[in-house]
Amino acid sequence: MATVDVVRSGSAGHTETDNYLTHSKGLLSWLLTLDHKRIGVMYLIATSAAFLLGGFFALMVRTELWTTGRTIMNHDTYNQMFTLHGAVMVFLFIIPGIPAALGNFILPIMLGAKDVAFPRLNLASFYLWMMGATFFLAALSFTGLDTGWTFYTPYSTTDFGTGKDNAIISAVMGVFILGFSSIFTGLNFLVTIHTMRPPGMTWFRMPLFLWAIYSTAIIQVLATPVLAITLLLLLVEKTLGFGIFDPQLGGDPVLFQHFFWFYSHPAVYIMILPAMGVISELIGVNCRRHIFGYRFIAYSSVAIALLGFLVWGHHMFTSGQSKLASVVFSAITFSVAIPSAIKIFNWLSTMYKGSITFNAPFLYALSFMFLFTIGGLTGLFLATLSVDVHLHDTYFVVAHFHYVMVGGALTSFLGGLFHWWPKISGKMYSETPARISALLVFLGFNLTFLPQFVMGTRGMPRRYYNYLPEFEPFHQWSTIGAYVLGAGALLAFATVIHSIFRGKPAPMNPWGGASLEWTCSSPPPHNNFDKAPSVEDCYDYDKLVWDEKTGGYLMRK
Amino acid sequence: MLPILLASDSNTDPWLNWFWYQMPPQQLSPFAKGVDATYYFIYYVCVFFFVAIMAAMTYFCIRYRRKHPGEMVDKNAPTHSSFLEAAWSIIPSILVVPMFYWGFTDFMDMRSMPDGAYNIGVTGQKWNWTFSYGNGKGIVGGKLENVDWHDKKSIIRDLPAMHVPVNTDIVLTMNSKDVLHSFYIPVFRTKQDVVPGRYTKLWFRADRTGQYDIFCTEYCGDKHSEMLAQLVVDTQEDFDKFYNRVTNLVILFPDPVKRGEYLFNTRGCSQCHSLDGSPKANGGPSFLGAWGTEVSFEDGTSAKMDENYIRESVVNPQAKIRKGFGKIMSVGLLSKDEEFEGIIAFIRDLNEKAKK
Repeated sequence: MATVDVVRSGSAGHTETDNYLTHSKGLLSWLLTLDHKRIGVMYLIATSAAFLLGGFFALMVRTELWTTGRTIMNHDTYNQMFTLHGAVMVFLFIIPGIPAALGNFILPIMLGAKDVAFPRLNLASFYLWMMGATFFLAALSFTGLDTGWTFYTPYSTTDFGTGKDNAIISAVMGVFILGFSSIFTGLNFLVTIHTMRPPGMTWFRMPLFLWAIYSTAIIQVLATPVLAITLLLLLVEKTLGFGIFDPQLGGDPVLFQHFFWFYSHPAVYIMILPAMGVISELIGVNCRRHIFGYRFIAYSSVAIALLGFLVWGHHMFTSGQSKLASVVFSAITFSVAIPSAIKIFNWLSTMYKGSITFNAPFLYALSFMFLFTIGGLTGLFLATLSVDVHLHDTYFVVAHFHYVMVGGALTSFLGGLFHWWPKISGKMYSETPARISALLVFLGFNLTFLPQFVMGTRGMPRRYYNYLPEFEPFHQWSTIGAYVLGAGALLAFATVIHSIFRGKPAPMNPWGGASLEWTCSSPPPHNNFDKAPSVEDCYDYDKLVWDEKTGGYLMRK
Repeated sequence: MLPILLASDSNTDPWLNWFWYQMPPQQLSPFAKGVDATYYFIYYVCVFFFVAIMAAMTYFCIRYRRKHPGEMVDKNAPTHSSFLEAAWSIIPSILVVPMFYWGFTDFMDMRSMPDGAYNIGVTGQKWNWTFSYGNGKGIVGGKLENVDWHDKKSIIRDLPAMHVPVNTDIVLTMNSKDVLHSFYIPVFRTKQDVVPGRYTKLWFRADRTGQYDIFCTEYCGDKHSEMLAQLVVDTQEDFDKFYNRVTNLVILFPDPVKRGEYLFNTRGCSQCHSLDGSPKANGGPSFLGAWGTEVSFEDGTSAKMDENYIRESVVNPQAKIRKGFGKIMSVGLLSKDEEFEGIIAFIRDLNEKAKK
C-alpha cells in the first residue's frame, strides 16, 4: 500500500483550522449566514428539536393508552396530544428533516459547488420555518388544538367559541407558512441541480441522493401550493363564514379531503424519497460496491414522484366518493408499489459480493430495509379496495404509515446523520453507543408497531382515548416499545452531541465514500471547492485506498 | 374462487384466523369471506417476499462481511442486469393484479345496495348513534355514562343496540347532524363515512345471531372513542318482538295527548287540518275548539263532534261532508284503538288550550 500515490489533503489544500465552522465568529455570523452548510446545521438543530418535541407528545399518547380508561389525562388533552404529535412530526420534522437539514449541507458539496443557486432564498426558507414553528408554539399556548393533523372539515371549521378557534387558526397559519419554506427549498434545489453540476457530472453520474432530492423538489414545488390554497379556503370559511366545506353553509366536506390529500399524499413521498436517497448512499459506501441498477433506482424516484400525484383518492375509499373514482385510485395505487419494490431489490443486489461493514449508518440502513419492506408490503392491503374498507382508520393504518414514516424516514435520517456527521462536525462519533442506538430504535420500533397490525385487523379504531378491554395487552406492548424507541433516539442524539466535545478529529473520508463530499476536508472549508472538481463515477470505490495512519480512505492520484 | 383455495379459510386454519381476527369461526356477511380470503392472499405474498428478502439480506451480511478495512471487492461483480431488473418489475406487477381484481369485485358487492332490503336509518351526532325503524316509528338511542372501561359488560349495558333480523339484507341509510363520523362493523368487514349534508348507505346480511361491536372510525372530537354501539342479530321472531316494543305507541307515549300530537304530526293529518282555528286552503276544517260543538253538513243535517264522530270521519271520511268543504279526504292512517284514543284526546285537549 505504501507505494500507492494518493491525495493527502482536502480539495483545496486548506489547513484544518480554516473551515466553515471557524470561518467567521459570533452569533450574527450564524443567524445571517448565506453559507448552505451553516443553514443546514441550523436546520438540523431546529428539526431535531421539533423531533424531540413531537416524540414527547408521542410518549404522552402512548402513556395514556396504557390502560383502557383514563391513565394520566382527560379526553381533551389526549386529543391535543395526538394532534400535536402528528402535526409537529409531519410539518416540522419529517418534511424538512432530510432535504432541508442533510440535503442543504450535502447537496452543494456533492455537486462540487460553492453553494446552492439562491443562498438568500435558502436563508429565507429557514426563517419561514422558524416563523411556522412559532405559530405552532402559539397554537400550543392557546391550547385546544384537537383536529388531528389532517384538519378535516367541518370539525375544524366549527365555531367553538373558545381558545380552540385561535389554536386552529394559528396552527393552520403555521402550516401555510411552512409550505412556503418547503417550496423555497425545493425550488432552490431544482435550480441548483439543473445549473450547477460540475464538468463531467451528467444526469446519470449524479449520486442517487441527488436524484431523490430532485424528485422530492418536484413534488414540493408542484404540490405544496395546493395545500396553501386549501388552508386559505379553510381559514376563509372559519373566520369569515364563507361556505366552502361546511354543509351548513352550502359547502362539501368531502371536497376538503380531495384538496388535502392532493397535497398530502405526494407529501408522503416528500418524506420517503429523500430517505431512499440516503439509503442508496449508505448501502453503496458500506458495501463498497457500485450501486446495482443505478438507472432503475434513479428512474424509480422520478416515477414515484409523478405517480404519487395520481393516487390521493386511496385515502378516501370510505369517504363517500364515487365507486368509479375509488376503483381508478386503487388501480393506480398498485402501480406505485412497483418502483418501491425495484429499489429494495436493487439495494439487496448491491450487497451481493460486496465488502460489508457494520458501522452505525449501515445498521440503520439494514433496519430501514427491514422496516420499509414491511411498511411497503402492508400498503398492498390498503391499496386493495375491499380489504381497505375493513382496515381504513384502524390501527393497521397507523402501523403501516409509521413503518414507512418512522421505519423509513426516521431511521434513514439517523443513519444519514451518523454517516455525514464526521463531515458536518469534523469529529468521529463513538461507534458502540451509536450501534446500540440503532439496535434500540429497531427493537423498540417493532415492539411499538407490530402489535398495532394485529389490533387494526381485529378492528381497533385509531384516535381512541378509551378502548375496549380486549385490546389492552397489545396497547401495553406498544407503550413499552415506544419508550425503548425513545431511549434509542435519545441515545443517538446524545452520541452525536458527545462527539462534539470528546470525538476524535474526523479524517477526510472515514467510510470510503466516492462521491464529492468525501474529497473536501472534514469539516469542509467555507468555499467547499475553489474550482469545480471534475467527476468520474461516484460509485467507483476502486479508486480509494485505506490509510491506517488517519483511519480513513485516500484517493489514488 | 382462487383466493378461497389459496387463502386460509377459518375452517382450515383456525389459529391464523384467531390471531388476525379473533373472530368466531364463521364470517358473518356475504363479503366478509371474500375480504378475508383476499387478506390472506396478500398476507402470504407479503410473507413470502419478506422472508425471501430478509433471508438474502442476512446471508449477504454474513457471507460478504468486511474482514479488513482495505479489502477490495470483486471487480467483475455485476452492477446491472436487465434480466433481473425486468423480472422484479414484471413479477410484482403480475402479482398485484389479482389483489386489485378481488378487492374491486368485493368492493362493488359492498357498495351495490340489494333490492328489497330492510331499511334502518342511522343518525350520527357528537357523540352517539341513533337508529330509526319503520320510517321513524321507532327510535333507539343512548350513550355511555360512567362506565368501567375494564369491564366490557358494563360498556355494553349502556350502549344503544341496533337490532337486525338474521338472514335478511339490511340497508342502512346514514346521515350526520354535525361533523364527519364513520360507521364500522368489524365483524362484517365493512365501514362507511357518515357525512353531514348527504346520505350514505351501507348494507350487510348477518348469517348468524349474536351480539357484536360497532365503532365510530372518523375522528369527531372529544368523546370520539365513546361513540360506540352494539349490533344485535336476532331471529326473525325476536326481531319482531323488538320492533313491536320500539314502535309501540303506548310504551313510547303513555300520555294519550302526546300520542295524539305525535300521530297528528306524523300520519298526514297536519297536511290539511290546522290548529289555529282557520281552515287551510284546499284543506279541511281546523281542529281548534271544535270538540263538543255541533257541526253542520252539506246534506243539511248536523251532529255533535264526539268520539264516534271522529272515529267515523277517519275510517270513512265520505260518510259526512262538512258544509263548505269538498269530498277531498282519503281514509285516515289510523287503525288501532290506542291511536284513536290518542287523536281524540289530542283534539279534546285543544279546547283546553283554546280557553287559555
